[in-house]
Amino acid sequence: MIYLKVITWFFVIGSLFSVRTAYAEYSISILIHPQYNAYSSDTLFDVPSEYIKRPGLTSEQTIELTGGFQQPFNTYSYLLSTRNKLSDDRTSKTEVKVNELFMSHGIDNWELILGRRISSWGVGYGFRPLDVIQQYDQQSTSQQSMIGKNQFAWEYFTDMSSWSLLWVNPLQTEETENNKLESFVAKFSTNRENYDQHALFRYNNDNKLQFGLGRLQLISDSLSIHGSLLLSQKYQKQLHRLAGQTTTLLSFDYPYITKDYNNGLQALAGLNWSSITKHNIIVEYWYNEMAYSPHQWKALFKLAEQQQILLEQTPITKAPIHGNIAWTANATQAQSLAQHNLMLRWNYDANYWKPTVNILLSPDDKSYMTTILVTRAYNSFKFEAGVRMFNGANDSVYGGLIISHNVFMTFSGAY
Amino acid sequence: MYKILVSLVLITPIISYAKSADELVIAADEYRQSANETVVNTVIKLYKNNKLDRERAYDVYIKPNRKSLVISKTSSERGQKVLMLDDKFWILLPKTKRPIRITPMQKLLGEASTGDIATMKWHEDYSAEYISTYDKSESGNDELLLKAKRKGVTYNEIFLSLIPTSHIPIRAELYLSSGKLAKVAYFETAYKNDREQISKMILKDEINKNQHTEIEYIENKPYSLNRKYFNPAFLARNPSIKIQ
Repeated sequence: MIYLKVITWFFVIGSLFSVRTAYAEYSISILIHPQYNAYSSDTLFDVPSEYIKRPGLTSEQTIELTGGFQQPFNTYSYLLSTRNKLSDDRTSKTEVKVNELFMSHGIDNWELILGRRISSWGVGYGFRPLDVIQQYDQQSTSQQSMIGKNQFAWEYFTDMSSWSLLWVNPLQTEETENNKLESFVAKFSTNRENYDQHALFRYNNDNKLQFGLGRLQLISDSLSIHGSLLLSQKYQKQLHRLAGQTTTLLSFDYPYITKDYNNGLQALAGLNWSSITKHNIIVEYWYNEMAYSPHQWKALFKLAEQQQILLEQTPITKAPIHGNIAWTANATQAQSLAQHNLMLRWNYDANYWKPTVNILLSPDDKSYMTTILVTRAYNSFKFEAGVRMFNGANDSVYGGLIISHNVFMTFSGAY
Repeated sequence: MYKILVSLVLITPIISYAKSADELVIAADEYRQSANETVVNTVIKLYKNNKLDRERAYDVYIKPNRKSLVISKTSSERGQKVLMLDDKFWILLPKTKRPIRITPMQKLLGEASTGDIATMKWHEDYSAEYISTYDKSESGNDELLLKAKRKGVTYNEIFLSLIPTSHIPIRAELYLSSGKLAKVAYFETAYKNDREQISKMILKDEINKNQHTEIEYIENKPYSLNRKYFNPAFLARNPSIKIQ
């Protein structure tokens, strides 16, 4: 049934591409993203599927409409999307999102913005410490547009510099997700002969004051280096309160607690090199103090291991143990899994196909995530296919994940 | 008196074509971009085996001192922009909403046609010297050698043919820094806004022999764009809005 729905979507929406136009003041784009997931048999988080869902085949279909219109004094811009997610467990979910909807008013070199807008900042390809507003997952294979943040912004532009003051997520003081919290941000950017530089300050109730710097420096015609860092006066981690001890292995309520830390550091350094033969290489190292430390991972995996042993030994009902293992596995859903990260990316811009290989290594436990994909563009269409694999010991950051690998494709087109 | 008049008649032709090669290039550039600040509506058609493979539309805003902003008007590339400020380059990809500084090499390896349409004045990027004047060349045209005088230009050398007297460009051989002949360009003119202008440039690909590109300049008119649009931080503005 899922296959029929996917094929039907494809043909219904494909009719939009029967007319091509080279000029557009708005556009509609369509993405179809099927994905097949395979799961590890060696994971410490092995529980029945009613505790941790394991969809084998999923498919997301997204339609995005972007455009805008002008009036005498203001400009209005929008990006709307509707997404339908199908799964082979016969579930279906449809969402309509307002990714962007904002008004801008410009006077000479000044701009005032009011509404929801995507504000994607910073340098870096695998990780961007200065992306304090969107906090987008740079490792995502999804090509859907980000969802902007509600904001009031004042911006001033000179020839090569800009200043920004933003009030983001106004009055949202009760949010648990950091990028949905009310915050005040000041940002300065400058673009010089052979470097770009950024600086920002951010204040919110959770982090208090954050200070960030970023720079991209051209070294030669084919080589650039980049780096950035973000210092946070305070930051939080969700810690499993049973990890790190052996006396109590089960909890009757959600076992994660929020712990406050002082003086958090996120830092990135990398280089980007391109050759005349169309090869491009990116190497990056980054440190994210807000992710679990190796010691915290070790304690969590130890807890999961002991919960598995309890599962085998106990004569009582297994449901509470399964539930606790599923809770323990929640830590693997974090956007940043490791504190120390090393990424190597290669791509080749061939005439028709563009292959890319991306390896993300956790040096602390030698586990890694490998992504291999190829892209092909033809007229208004783009096709991408890839595989992502997770390797390492079952008590390592990437080897310990429930998923072992996935195969994905993306068909996209614009009208 | 008679001798003076004869001498003047004999000297005049020598003086009239004593223009330097750089002056000829400046005159040729007038057919490509007549005003200091312009907007050029451009359509690029890529042909493979003489069949249309891809069509792209761009608005190219040009300012003095080698500033150009190329905005894609094609649905499939909606939101893509390339900003060139002298030897500095930034690209904004549709989904990223973040300008990315790129090296000259990345700009060369990107959509090559972007480099072909972003610069409309050879004399800003190249120094010129004569290969042969029209009276001595086989083609009957003024033949010039243009050499890149800054990094980041798409072609390191150009062999340029100009129609005598009018200095309209007729043909150009475009060479990469490796010395390889990349493309051969042929120019067509048309009368627009009461003057003769380059209306089309046909690029024959000498590396991929089955490909050629037609760059059609739909409209080329004076336009002064606010300087903030040439600030990399301003690139992320919604492209659907007509620039004011």
